[in-house]
Amino acid sequence: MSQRELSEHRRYLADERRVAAYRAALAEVVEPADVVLDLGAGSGLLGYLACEAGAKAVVAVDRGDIVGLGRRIAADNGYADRITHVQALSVELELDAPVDVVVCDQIGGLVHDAGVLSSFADARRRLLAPGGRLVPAGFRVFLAPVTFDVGRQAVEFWASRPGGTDVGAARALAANTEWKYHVATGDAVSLAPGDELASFPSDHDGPIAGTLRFEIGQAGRLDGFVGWFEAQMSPSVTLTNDPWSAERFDRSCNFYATDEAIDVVPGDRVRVAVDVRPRLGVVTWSTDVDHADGSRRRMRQSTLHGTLMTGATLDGHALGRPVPDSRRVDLLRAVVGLVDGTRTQADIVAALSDRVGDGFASRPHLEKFVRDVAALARG
Amino acid sequence: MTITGEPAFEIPAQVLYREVDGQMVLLDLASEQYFGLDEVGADMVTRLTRQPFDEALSSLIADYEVEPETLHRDLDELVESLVGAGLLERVAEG
Repeated sequence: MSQRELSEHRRYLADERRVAAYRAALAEVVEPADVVLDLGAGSGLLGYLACEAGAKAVVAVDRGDIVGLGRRIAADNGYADRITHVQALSVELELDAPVDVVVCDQIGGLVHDAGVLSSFADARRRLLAPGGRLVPAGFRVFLAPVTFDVGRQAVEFWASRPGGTDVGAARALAANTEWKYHVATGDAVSLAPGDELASFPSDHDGPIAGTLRFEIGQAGRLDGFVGWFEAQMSPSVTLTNDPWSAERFDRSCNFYATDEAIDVVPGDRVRVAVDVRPRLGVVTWSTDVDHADGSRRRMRQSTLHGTLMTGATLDGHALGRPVPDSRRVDLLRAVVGLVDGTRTQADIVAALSDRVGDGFASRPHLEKFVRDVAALARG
Repeated sequence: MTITGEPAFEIPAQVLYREVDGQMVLLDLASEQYFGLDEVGADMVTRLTRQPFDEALSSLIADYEVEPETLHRDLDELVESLVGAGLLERVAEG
């Protein structure tokens, strides 16, 4: 295991609030003779807790090689006969019979990471018996406007000319990134009480969106918004990573920076609209700051602008191409017909020069097309 | 580029877009589908969202080695395709 993996799993196992919440929730939800499916099982702790709660059997699925370690730990703890470890993506998992409970702990931030919602939704459709239960059953997600030095510095570093080098091109990427931080009380100053952005069941498979309005309660610098969740683990158990909760467990929050830091005073109003697309992995957030003096600042940011892309990766994104290209398809055939091993690219361009103005706006565009086709032919 | 009037079109709010190496990627949040425009298409859309249609057409004709009729036809086809896909909205006549 890598240091990162060891540290990650140690963090999970050492988090007493997390373990206690899952133990209490599974004790409440699991019934004798239930079969439990653990999605993203890792070292397998949730499966052991399910056995402890009375589960007849557990299927622990994880895509990683950690299933081998999970199998060993299950044997060391006397669960080898009740837990089956499967190395696979959960969406590829096939079961002989549906399970009674699905449990998962791949949650953080605003919950949409790691495909957890789509995994739950897939499990609900394919693997869970009618009337089966999910742990957690649902989520509420929250945002608060904050002064957050660490988050602001993560953006402004790129405008600081480190080593005398202008790396400012990366600042826009940083400002449009969804940052993950383990935010504890004192790390960030809330400029207004946090509010609920959305609530949804664990098998919610659509956008997570909402608009919040805050009235600034204390003077400070608006650096952005911290986002967290509260999981409804079972009817009587909740689990949250709320930075300002004394009961928070150790799980990362999200930070959405405003494009610029904005000084605010009591009476200023802040509106933020957030649109999370779990299937796309894209988050968009629009911020309006209405100052008490009547001035306004508006910003719109998206992780689409925080993603490194080149023209090559763009082709992978361009699933639909609305550009009319029927003439170019025709031209493609013409180019392929001229690639006979004896003609050079210049020969091919010359042979098709009369097509400039027909299929292509200029000769350089034709030349680029021929180069691309030749590269494809070589590849 | 001289701009004398209101742009003919805008990209709707539900469409995210960015330029990449002269090309353009558009993400329609309504359909959750990505679209791509090559350099010429991206240039056309950029002009259409900054200038009245006739000015965008004239500037394209001035900058590209292409028959005006051909370019006009290409531009019309692109606009029709993008409007039909919900990626472009007409905001002014012209």
